[in-house]
Amino acid sequence: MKLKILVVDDEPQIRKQLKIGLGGYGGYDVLTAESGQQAIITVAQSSPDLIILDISLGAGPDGLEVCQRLREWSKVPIIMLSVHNEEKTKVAALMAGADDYLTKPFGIEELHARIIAIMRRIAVEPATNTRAEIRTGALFIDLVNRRVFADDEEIHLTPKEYDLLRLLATHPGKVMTHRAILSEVWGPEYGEMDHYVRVFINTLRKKLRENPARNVRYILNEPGVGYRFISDA
Amino acid sequence: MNTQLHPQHLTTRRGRLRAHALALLCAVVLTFVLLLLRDTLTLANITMFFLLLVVLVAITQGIVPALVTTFVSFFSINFFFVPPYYTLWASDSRELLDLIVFLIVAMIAGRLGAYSRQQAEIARQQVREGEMLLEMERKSRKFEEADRLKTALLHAVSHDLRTPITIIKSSASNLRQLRSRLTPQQQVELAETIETEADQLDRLVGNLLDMSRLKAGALRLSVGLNSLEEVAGDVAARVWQLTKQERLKIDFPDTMPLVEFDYGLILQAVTNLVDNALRYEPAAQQVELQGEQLKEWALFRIINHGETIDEETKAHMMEPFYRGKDGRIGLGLPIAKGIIEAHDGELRVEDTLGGGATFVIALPIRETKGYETQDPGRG
Repeated sequence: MKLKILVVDDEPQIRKQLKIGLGGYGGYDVLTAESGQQAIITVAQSSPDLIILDISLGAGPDGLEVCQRLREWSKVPIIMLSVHNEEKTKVAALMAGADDYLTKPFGIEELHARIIAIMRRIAVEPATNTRAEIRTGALFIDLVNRRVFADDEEIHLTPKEYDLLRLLATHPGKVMTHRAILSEVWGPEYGEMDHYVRVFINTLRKKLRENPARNVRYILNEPGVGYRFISDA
Repeated sequence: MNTQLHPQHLTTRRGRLRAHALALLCAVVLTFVLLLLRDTLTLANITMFFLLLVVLVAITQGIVPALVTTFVSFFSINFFFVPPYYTLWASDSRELLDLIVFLIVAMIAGRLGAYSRQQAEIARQQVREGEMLLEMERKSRKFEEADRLKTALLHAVSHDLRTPITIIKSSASNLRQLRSRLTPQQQVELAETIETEADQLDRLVGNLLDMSRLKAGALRLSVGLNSLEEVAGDVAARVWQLTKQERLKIDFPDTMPLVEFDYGLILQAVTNLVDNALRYEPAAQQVELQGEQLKEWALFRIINHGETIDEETKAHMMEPFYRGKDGRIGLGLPIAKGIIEAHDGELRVEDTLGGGATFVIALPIRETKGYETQDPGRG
């Protein structure tokens, strides 16, 4: 069955390009809406499987508001688009309930990759707790025995380092905000201590033998927002 | 007397009245206080007090109120303090002499006090004028620089922005018109050209926006404690994605501290510097990214092994729109410099040992209020 994707953007050329671009992959039915109001109606009537939602929508409710309103009754995955590469905008999008965001201009491949990541995550989510292991690149995480291997060699992590890695790795492709990471790994009272996360990620990167110069990376930095685990599986 | 030198409140009628009333009031109060002590003080003590009052009034209020105070004091002394009391008579001629000497001394002291006040006022005025001149000069310099930037910007717009647009337009119309006559390979190439040039255009527009924000002082920093090594990693990964080659070598000590900076902006600055370094890096070598802590500075070196830059170029390469020998307009370096300076940091160019240029970013490590960068839950 084809995946139904709703593209919401007030710019006709962008709607057209996304329709052509995503349509070209063959697996998608692309619907479009040009305003927030129209978007909400379309979601209610056609229940799409995923929404690509621009933040600025001309007159009427903007993308953030549409996202908040949809979240009152729908769990449909939402990817927000914006021309603003500001941290505040990204955090606002995630806080409004978006699953991911992309900054314009972007390549259609990147959008496609994000869609696949989200759909894969949704497919495995109900079973997340029963997953026994995660394997990506040269990294292998044995969730049952709390053991981690890089290049088939066991890596020794402290309990906090392991918790951090597990949190990120069990949400592949999803941006985990600093706040969420602190709250999950350290506890809600650590809400403002973003730099703890940064120090730990630094150590973790070294232990996992990341080599960014050869693109060997497992944890992506989303500046000012959080971190995202990349998984090829 | 030069009225222009009076403080504002003395040049108005109301201000003058207030100064006189104040002088009068002081004389009355002083008289009243001294009356209570009349039996314990000598006439010399009392005239000294009035003399002090006259000098104070002269210094703070000017010559005319001081003269008024002098005469009021003169009559007050005569009337209240020279026997017989409550008459303008002096029974002792020596006391009459005291009174006359008081009048003369008070007038001279008043004049001197007022003169010193005037001198102080002149000095203040000169400082104010100097500041105004400086401010005007600063403004006109800023204006000139803005003008120069605008001209340079127009040149940049007409050439560097139009070039990618021209390429995009011609590639797209070729695709549309010649579609049937082009091989699939040629079609792909045209499409790729459009994409590359659009990216180029996007970078340029981003740089221009940053430049104008930097120049307008409208750059808002959102600083947090961040890792420079992470910046190096992000830059290195991007270079791999673009070239599929390991063109960078990262070397940071484990003890490298976190530094307060705006991640997005410093990433942009380092990206600009690395792009620049890669452009001149021999194919067989790697640009090195090194971190080091030197006392209260975090250093980030971008080490290139190409040709050493001559002093002339070094002096100008960080100026906006400087056109290098290859004809490129430089926005990358001035933007990097602007961003780093907005962080109270420094950007320096040094020669690499054995040839090449090393850019050194120095960012201050601030006392971090109550933050511990130590692992709170290690073990």
